[in-house]
Amino acid sequence: MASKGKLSEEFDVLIIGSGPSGSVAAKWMTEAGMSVVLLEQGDWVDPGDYPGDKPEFELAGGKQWHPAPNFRDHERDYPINTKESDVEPLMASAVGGSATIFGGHWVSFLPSDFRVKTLDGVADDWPFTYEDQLPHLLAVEHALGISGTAGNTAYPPQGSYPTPNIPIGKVGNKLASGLDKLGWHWWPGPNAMPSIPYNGLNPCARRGTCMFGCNEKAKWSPDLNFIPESIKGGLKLIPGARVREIEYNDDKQRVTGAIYIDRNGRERRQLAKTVIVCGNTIGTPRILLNSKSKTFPDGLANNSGLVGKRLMMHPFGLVMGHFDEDLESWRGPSGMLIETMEFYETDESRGFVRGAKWGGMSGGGPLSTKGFVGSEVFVDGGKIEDAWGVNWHQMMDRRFGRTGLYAIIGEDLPEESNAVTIDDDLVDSDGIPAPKVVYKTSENSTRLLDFHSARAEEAMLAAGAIETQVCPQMRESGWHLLGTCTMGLDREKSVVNEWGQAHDVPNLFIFDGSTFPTSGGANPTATIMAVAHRQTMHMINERRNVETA
Amino acid sequence: MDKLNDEDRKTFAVLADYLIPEYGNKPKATAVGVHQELLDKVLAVRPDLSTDFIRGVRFAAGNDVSDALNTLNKDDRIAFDAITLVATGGYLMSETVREAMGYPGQEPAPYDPHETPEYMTNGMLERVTLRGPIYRPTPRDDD
Repeated sequence: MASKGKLSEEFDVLIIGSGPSGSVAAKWMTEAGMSVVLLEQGDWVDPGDYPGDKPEFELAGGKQWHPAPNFRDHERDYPINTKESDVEPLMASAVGGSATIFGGHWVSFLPSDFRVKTLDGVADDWPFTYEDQLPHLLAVEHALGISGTAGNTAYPPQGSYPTPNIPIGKVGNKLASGLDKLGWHWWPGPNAMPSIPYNGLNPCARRGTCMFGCNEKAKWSPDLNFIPESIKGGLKLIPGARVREIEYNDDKQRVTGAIYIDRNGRERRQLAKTVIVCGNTIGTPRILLNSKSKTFPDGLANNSGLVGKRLMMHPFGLVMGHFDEDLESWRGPSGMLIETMEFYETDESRGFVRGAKWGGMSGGGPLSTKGFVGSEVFVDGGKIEDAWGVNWHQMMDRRFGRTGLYAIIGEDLPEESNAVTIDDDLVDSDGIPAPKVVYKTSENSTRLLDFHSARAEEAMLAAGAIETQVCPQMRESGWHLLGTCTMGLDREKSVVNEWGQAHDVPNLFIFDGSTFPTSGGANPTATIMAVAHRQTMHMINERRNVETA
Repeated sequence: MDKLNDEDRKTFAVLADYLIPEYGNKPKATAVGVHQELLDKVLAVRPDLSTDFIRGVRFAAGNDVSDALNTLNKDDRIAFDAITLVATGGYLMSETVREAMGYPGQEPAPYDPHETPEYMTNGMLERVTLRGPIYRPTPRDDD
C-alpha cells in the first residue's frame, strides 16, 4: 500500500495535527527557519459560519456544531467506539483543531500537579516541574494575548497578563459574592481571548457563544493567527489530509514520514526527517497503533506496551444556581467569568485525593435552561404537564437570564485499564481503522465530584440562589483528553521522554496532551501549549544533534 | 419516512399550543408560527430531527393531546424529545417571543477594558489576596 503513495519533497519536520500543540510547533519552528509541513485532517472554518450570531445557534449546537464527533457525524470526523466508555470524548477536526470550539478557559496547572507522587503518593511525578514550564507558559500567553488579572493566590507569582480582564458581568459578581461570603478563594477568570485588539485577534465582544465557535475572531484558535503567520513564514499546510500511518524504516530504525489520504481520497506519502505527532489523546495513539512494522508489530514506539493506555478525562460536574433577579445571564464570555481553586489541593479527610477547579459561567441562551453546550442535562420526569404548559413558561421566567453555573473540572488519576485501542470493525470515511475508548470513572473521581458538587451548591446558596440544580457527572463531557502516550524518564513505564521524544524512535516526537503523566484538575490547554513550547524550543536548540531519517 | 404534510402541521399545532400556551405577555406557540415558517426553519437547521418528529406527531394524530404526549414521553422518549425541541427551538427563535422575554439574542456587549472593576474597589478581591497563597509549592529535593 505504502509504495503507491505519491512522493513528496522531504521537510525538516512533519507535524500531524494543527491544534494548540501542533500550531505552537509550526509557529516557532517556522520562525526558526526550519522547513515544516503540517498535515491536518480537517478543513479551514470560516468564522462567519459559526452559529453563535444566528438565532438557531443552540439548535445547531445540538447536531452539526455539537462538540462530540459521534453526534456531529461530519465527514471529516472519525468515528469513535464509545460503547464501553462512561464519558463521550469531545473534539473538532479543523484547521486549529479543537481550539475552534473550546471555551478559552486559560488555567495553567499548579506546582503540585507536577509532583503528585511526591506530595500525595499517587500516580507519577512529571519529569519536570512547574517552574521549568513557567517561562514557556508566559511566552505562549504573550503570543495569544490572554486577558486576566495578576496576583492569583492559587499560584506562585507569575507576572501580569498581556491584556486586561474581560468584565465578569452580573453573573460573575454574583458568584464571587457567594465565595466572598464563605471566605473561599476566587479570582477573575483568565481567558484565551484578548480584551483589546491583539496580534490579529479582535477584542472579546461578550457574545457568549465561545463553545459554538467565535464569530468575532476574538477567542484564540490557531487558524486565526499562528497558522496564517506560519504559512507566511514558509509552512506548508495540507488540510483535509488524514494520516493512515507513520512509516518506519526497519533498517534505518527511523521514521521517514507519513502516508495520508487527501481530501480527494488519494493516497499520498509525505517525507520528513523528523515527525511530530499532535493528534490529541485519542488521535495520536490511533495513528501509532495503526502504524505497524516488523520492528513494531504492536504499534509504533510501543515497546513499553503503553501506547493508548492511561487515558484520562477530567470528571466534569455541573451545578446551576437560579437567582431572583435579572443577571442577563446570556452574556459572555463563556469563557470563564471567575474561577475558584479553594478545594484544589489534596485533603485526605474528604475521602479522595487531588481536587478540582471550578469555572464560574453564565447560564447561556434560552435552550440552555435545561442543558449545557448542546446537551440536555436536566431531564424532566413524571407527567409532562409538570414541566410543560404554564409550568414551562414559569420555569423560563424563573431561570432564563437569572442563572449562573459552576463547571467543575476534577483531576482524573491515570489507570492502565482506561485506554484507546483500535476497534475491530469501525473505520472512518477513508477506510482507516477507528479508535475504541474504554473508560470507567474511578471511585476517586466519583467521590471528588460528589464533594465538589456539594460545595458548589453551598456557594450558589451563599450567593443567594433561590433554586439549584446539580449534575455530578455528564456523559458528554470529555472536553479534556489526556494521557495515552505518557512522558517519563523510565522507558519501561513511558512512551516519550521529558522532551516528547519517543524512547524507541529517536526522530519521532509527540508534543500534545497525550504525553501528560497526570491530568491536573484544571482546563489543560494552557499547559498543553506551554509544554509544546518547551519541547519545540528544545528541538530548535538541539536541531544539529537530532538523529534524523 | 414520508415528508411532513399539512395534516402533520395541524397535529403539531395542537401539540405545540398544549406544550406552550399563552401566558402573561407570552403568546401561544402557534401565534408566532411554530407550526409553519418556524417549523420549516427548525427542520432546515436540524434535519436529523425529522424522522423522530414526524413519527411522534403521527402517533398523536386524532388522540387526546395529554394522553398522546404522556404516552410518547413514556414509550418513545426520542420522538417526544424531538417534538418538544422543535416546539421550543422554533418558539425561542421568534422575535416576538424574544421581545416578550426581554432577550435581545447573543449580541455583542460593548465595554471599556480599562475601567476599574467593582471588585477591585469594594474590597472583595483584596480579601482574597489578604488571605494569602493557597497553593502547595514544588517540593525541594531535600523536603
